[in-house]
Amino acid sequence: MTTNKLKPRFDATSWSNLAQIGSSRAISGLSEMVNQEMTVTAFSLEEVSLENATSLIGQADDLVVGIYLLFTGNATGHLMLAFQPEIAFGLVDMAMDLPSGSTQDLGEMERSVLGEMGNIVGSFFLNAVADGAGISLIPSPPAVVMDMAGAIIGSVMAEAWEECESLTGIRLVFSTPDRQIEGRFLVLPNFDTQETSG
Amino acid sequence: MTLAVVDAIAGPDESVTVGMGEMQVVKDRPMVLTSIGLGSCIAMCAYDPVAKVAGMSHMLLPSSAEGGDGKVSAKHVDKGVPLLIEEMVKRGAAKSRLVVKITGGAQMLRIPGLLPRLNVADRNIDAAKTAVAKEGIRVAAIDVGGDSGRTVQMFTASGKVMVKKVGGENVEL
Repeated sequence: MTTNKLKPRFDATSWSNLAQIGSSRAISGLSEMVNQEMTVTAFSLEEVSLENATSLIGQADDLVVGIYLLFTGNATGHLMLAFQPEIAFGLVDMAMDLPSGSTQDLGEMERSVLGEMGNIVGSFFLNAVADGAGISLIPSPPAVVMDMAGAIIGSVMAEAWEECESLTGIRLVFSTPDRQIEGRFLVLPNFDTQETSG
Repeated sequence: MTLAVVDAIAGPDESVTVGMGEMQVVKDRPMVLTSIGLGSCIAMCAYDPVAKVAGMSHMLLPSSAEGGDGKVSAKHVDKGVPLLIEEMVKRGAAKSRLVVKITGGAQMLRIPGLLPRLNVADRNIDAAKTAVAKEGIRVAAIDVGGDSGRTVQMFTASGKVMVKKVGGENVEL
């Protein structure tokens, strides 16, 4: 693993709090984007080794939509939002003000919408973490992919292996006035989330 | 990452999953070895039709010099390829008879405006070709690259290898 002398350290509780605030802000951003009221109804955070990462978003052959971005700044890392396809399609419908069920696949337009969603959700999440930690985190443009969970996670792991030791999986359930939506944030930070700071 | 150099234990035609960083070697047993959801990972399938020894390795990274923990495992292509061959030879296979097929190495995460930072997929492909050539073996069939994940199945009774992408046909390699 690469050792970065400057990498920030958070104790587990602080990291959990930052991740929760970040998730809440991210949903606020999403709510603004799709112009729908959204409330976070469940939040749970799980720290797993990279080897066990796939289980966070489903079985290896489950079809998943992933929105992936890198972040740089005072710390580096990887961020992925993962949704079941029908959830992602529903979010596209909301963002484009289409009747529910209109989106059935991901074309260029739908990928662009999800990419913008990744921009907003990722930026709100990272800004909240950065503000709380007093650091700067800058997101990359997002990549949108729909494929098998194992293939997506395996590719993220391969990219992250040299610099990240563990993965924070955040299960987030949020609701609009007429439906419940479940999504996952996968955060692979190149900063220590276990040891006490200082 | 589990180093799973094991003789698969399963009934006839039972499917055994070969996870990331794992390998399976089977002698004279009709089974289906499966690697589900290969992204940038590489799967190598090898078969000796005379000794009836079959093996599959599911490798994550090109080189044990990167992200290595010092152990020899199937996680890295440069170690995983010779390790699979070695385990097959131990069970009676002959290098000269091995039919080797390689798949995987998809570039799944293309960020607009950025080159793939580590380009793991392409490096995995190169590492696999190099490692197999180093063993003096010719690759019989290869299906690598692109931007879609793959699931690969190997039928150990015949050495037949099938590859499927999401929404695609199950194609023999």
